[in-house]
Amino acid sequence: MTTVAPTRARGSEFTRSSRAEVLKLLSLPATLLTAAGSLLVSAVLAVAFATAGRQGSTGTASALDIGLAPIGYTQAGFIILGVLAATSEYTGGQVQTSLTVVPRRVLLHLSKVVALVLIAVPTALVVVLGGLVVADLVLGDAAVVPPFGDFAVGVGGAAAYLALTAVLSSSVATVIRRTIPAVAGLLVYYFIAGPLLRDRTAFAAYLPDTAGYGMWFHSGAGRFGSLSALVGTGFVVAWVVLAVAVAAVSFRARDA
Amino acid sequence: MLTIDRLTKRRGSALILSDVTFQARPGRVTGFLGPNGAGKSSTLRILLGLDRPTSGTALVDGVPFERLPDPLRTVGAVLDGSGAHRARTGRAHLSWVAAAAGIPRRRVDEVLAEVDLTGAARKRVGSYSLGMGRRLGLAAALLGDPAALVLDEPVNGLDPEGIRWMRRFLRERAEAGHTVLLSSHLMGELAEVVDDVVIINGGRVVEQGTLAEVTGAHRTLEDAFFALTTGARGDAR
Amino acid sequence: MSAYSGELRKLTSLPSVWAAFAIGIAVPAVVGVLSAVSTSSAIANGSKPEAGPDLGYQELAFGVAGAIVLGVVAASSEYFTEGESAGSGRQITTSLTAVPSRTRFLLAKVAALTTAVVLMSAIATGITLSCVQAVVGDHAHALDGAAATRVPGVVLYWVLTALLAFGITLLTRNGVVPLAVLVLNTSVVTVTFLLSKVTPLAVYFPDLAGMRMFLTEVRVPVELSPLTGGVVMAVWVVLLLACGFTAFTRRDA
Repeated sequence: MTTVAPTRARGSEFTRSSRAEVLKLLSLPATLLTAAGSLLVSAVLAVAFATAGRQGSTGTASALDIGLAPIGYTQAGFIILGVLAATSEYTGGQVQTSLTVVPRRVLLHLSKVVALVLIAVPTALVVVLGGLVVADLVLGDAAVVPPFGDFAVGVGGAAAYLALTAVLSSSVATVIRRTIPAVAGLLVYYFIAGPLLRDRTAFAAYLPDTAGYGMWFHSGAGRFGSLSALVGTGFVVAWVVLAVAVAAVSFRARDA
Repeated sequence: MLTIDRLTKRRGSALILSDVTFQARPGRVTGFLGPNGAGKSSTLRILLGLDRPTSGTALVDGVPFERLPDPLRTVGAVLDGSGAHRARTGRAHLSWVAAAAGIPRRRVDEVLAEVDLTGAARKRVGSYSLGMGRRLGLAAALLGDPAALVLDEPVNGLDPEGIRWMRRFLRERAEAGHTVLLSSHLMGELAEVVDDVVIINGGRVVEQGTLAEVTGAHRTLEDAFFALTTGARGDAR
Repeated sequence: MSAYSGELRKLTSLPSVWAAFAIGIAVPAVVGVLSAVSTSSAIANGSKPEAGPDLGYQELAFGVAGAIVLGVVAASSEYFTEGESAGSGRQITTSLTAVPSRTRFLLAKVAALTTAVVLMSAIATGITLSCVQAVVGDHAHALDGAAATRVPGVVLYWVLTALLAFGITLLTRNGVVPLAVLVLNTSVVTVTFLLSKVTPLAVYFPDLAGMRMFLTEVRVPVELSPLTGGVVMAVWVVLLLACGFTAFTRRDA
């Protein structure tokens, strides 16, 4: 038998667990594929929106608005990222390994959230900036360049919205535990039920997708829902906190 | 020391475990035997904090698994399958396990060599054979050089050479003073390895003691097993 | 025949299939009622003379998400191994030993999927259109004379979309990608609709073409007749199914 250094584990349990969760996400090919796919979709749609913008059919040539418009679709990538982060535990019985290494379930669950945020935020920044750069290139001289303050708020808001959406999705998937039903349910909500309710009901303004609209769709904030960007952000954060808590309770209570 | 005390588990109206009590002691290999569906895996999963008991306790050195300060250095466990995501490489799997337990990276190469997976370390787990997957699970269990090993059906999927290797390995662990608890439905493979035997059937412990005590008047452990399990449930095998 | 009933049984035993039915039936019905209520109050206060011709049908175009989920699940459930931790417990191995001819296996699956989607779309269409009619009354066009061709158009559109999802999933062997692509493209402003702003050729995408079978107001650069639209969509489906079949029969399971 080889011997292990008799030292106690280094670092706090939470730090170690979060680091392990980051390693897990990074060593999953699906994570990189999803991130690359989101960037690609963002770029292609930025071309489409910018082309439409040049023809004046969106009524504006603001490089910021057009460059952020693909977020409405690329959020699908972050929904998938969040779902895979949660459901990948249930492939190959990995969750058994995870829980024999980190048996404190709430701690494990929270370190998963931290790891997902650490991966989702830089990915979101790249995807958002990618869309903006492509839109600017296509618009060329027609681009109306925003003041830096607006630009920073726009990019930061969009990236925060995408990362929060990933965390919300991973919480839902933690409860559902299976990839296809979780992805199907979330996509149908975010892309079909959500937008349809948005146009037809008042309470939709408080739902996580519509409340988050103001975080990235600045010129449309008034049109979609009655909340200001700040209040909307507050509602999205509240939904995410609620979802993480429900998922933690469910993960703790159920047999793995 | 692993202590299972009056464990009962219900799932809906089904009674999975009923009043299961036994111990696995240091320096001995304890065989937890029973037919498929007898409750072996459920007991081990409760011991490892994966499933919740309806009543009763399962303790590791007097502490519930979830409260162990350093679980991977206390108990190494291999349940069914590899315990690894099929899209990851074997090395990536062991790396995150080591990171979560605060175990140095060099230990990953050591355990890979120990279970003879060094050559396949960079291949995806999905491409492994059943036996390779089992050995990867064992490698993860050995990362922390734990004082106790808990193995669910350890010889499943192993070739004859692998089974021989496993038997020798388990004996060495016990002789070094470690606790070994293994479950199996294969009697012949195990008679030579175990010191103590616990036989479970239909969620109840029907017999326990040293190998000699349980074998008793029967010719082999296998004969004793069939006499006990078919008698208790009354269904012919 | 036994392969067909086996596949039908497999489908009905999947919880995801029941979720797909719930989506396909509830989404258009609920949204249809909401639209009908706001339309009828607009008519009452005089801001609108009558209901648009696509009220009810428009909502059914979104309900097709249920058919997408069904098509994806019918194919991906053969490959997904979640929930069972045992090494290679993929259903496909069992399926192919039970029905050794892969083409026959796929045809049985297509037949079972078609049966399920016809049922789902017929229920969804019936509920949605009668709800709309009940709310808006005489001002609605939901069940006027044209319904005789438009209702079969909805059913055909759902079936073709489900088969499209099935064919793509056979190619990708993973349900997430086709789900993402197809559900995104069922959104209120579809990706293909955006692309129609870039190139008029986008009207020949299967969804934009197929919608012609039951929608009268689609604001795209080139108008297609319902028949042409249906044929264009059917050609897409046949091509993709052929690719999916070829990939499936040539590949190791």
